[in-house]
Amino acid sequence: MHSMQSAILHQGFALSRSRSAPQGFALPRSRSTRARLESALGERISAPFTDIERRTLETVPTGIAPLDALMGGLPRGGITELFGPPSSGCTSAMISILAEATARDEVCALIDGNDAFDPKSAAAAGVELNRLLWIRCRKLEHVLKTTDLLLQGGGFGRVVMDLTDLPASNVRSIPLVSWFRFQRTIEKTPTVLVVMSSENIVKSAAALVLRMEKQDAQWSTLLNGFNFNIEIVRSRKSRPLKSYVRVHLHSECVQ
Amino acid sequence: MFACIYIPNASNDAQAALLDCAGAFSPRVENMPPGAVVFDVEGLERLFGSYSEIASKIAEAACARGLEANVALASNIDAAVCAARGFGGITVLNHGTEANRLSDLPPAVLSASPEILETLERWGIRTLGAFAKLPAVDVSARFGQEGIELHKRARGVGSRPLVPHVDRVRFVDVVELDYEIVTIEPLTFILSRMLDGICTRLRSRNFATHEVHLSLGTYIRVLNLPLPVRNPKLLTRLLILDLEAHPPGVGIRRIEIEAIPAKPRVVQNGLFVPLSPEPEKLELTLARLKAVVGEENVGAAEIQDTHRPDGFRVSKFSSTNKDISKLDKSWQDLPNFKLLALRRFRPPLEATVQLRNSTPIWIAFHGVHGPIATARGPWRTSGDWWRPTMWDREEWDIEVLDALYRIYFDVHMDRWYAEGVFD
Repeated sequence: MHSMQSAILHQGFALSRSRSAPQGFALPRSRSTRARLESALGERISAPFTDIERRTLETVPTGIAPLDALMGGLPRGGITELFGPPSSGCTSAMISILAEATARDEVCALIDGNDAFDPKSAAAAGVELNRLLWIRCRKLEHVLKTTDLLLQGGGFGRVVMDLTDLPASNVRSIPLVSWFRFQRTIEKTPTVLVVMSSENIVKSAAALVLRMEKQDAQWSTLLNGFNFNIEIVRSRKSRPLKSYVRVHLHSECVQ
Repeated sequence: MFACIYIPNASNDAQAALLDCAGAFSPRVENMPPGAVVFDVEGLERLFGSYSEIASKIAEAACARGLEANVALASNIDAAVCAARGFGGITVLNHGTEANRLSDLPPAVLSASPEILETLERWGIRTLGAFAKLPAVDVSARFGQEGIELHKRARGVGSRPLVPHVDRVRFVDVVELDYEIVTIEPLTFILSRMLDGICTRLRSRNFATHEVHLSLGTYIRVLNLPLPVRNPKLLTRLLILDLEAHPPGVGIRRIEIEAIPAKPRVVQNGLFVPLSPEPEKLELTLARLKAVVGEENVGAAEIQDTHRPDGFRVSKFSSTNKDISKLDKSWQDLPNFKLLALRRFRPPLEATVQLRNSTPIWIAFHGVHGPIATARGPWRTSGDWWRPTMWDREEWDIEVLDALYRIYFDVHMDRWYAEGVFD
């Protein structure tokens, strides 16, 4: 079995390299390889090359151009986690995701764990506030209950859970099964569940995990902007060779 | 053949009684306030006999309702009305005799405008017969279209169709209980049964409802919906969630539900319609969310027209709300999203700040304390000085422990606050 796996992995590498080869040569070779593998695995695994994963690969843009270019965007029907310390750019990225969705007339929901959302920042960044359902919570149990209700109700393009300012011990105590339940609820829907927190909590239930980190800040009369890195920690999609992007944020009358 | 019942100086109640009386004879009734109703009596001779007998029956019915009315029957509506206004008691104008019979009546029975009546008076026209003898072309030249209509009425040759009065249908159900209900749960079954019946009646008339009034004795709740629905299960659930959020607090002996009818929503779905929740389902979800976090914490943010920091209010959310000005935008026109966002502390956190040369150098607030690496400011803002809610502050952006905060000094309170963190 080990030799079979290594053969498959090796073949996968060979196939990915063969994309640059002339099509007339590469396609027949890949088809014959696939036929050989299917016949070899046929008794133990039925339809080993069915596109079960393809459904989860449908992505929606984040509005952050370098990240979209790298990843294609956020996976529909999956959980995306953004985490990082204060001033790491999580909220700006979340607002960018909401702005992108509402600009396309999708209805979105924000579950605000500690009532920290600033509508003026969001409106300045392009979020259409009348397409955004804002739920202001103060307790973790309210956040979880609200998320359940919204995901069960369905029809939202993006549902954002903002757990950033809640006590870390409480957030860590959310059982993994809850995340899998959320993931299961949305997996056959076009909804994207975005979870924001100060540390990685969704673990293996997430389809995409992005770590945010602040770099340098630029100053003028007040804060002018800052750069942050987005590192792709986990992705169900094949991970690109480059796993981080740098984004610059600038200020525009945040009052 | 048309009948008219007329009462001089009728009150609103008398008008309603007249409509009721006419409705007992015909479904085609035209309301002509004040004091008159006209209705179609064609075919009633099989029930009541000749037209005189029909007129007598109508007069009896009016009398039984306490109305002393004039009753007139004629082959057209206008002649019947003129006769009822002009002759007391019962009058029957046979076909072809209208002009003769009406000729002695004064022009006032035509319901003309005061200016026309005054002109006729000046001309010495005292009867409909005299008015009818005037040439129609000259009447038209002097009075216009209204004059032609009046001239036709005076000659007893009106031909306008009857405009039926549509009675406002109320969708109400009332239940009187033998004993008081003090909890919400048993109410579910009663409300469900009542709403089932109301929704069936709405459906039979192709109506839905966007407003439901629930009266529990003296306790009244109104359920406003953003779109018309006629799903009894949904309405029951919404009413129960509303009652759970706003319990009546008293025993319930009488339950009354009234649904205000509205045209049902017609939607043509498309393949490329953007993703949004079904409006009916969304209403239920919103009601459940409000039950969890409170009514004031669920909705759409609406920025207020003020320079006050954090000036917003939460308005009712509806997925059908669209900004019309943005409907025809192209996707290439999407804004630049790379703008700095602020996470607010609500309410702002009181801070201890040390200054050197009027610049903050050290800060402590809510678990954050340390030297300030960079500080930029002050940015002075103030407003609403004529109100008690005025503000006057000096804002600073600072970097502490590798995080970027906005702090401000409240000039009137003489205190420092942390407003939020840039993230």
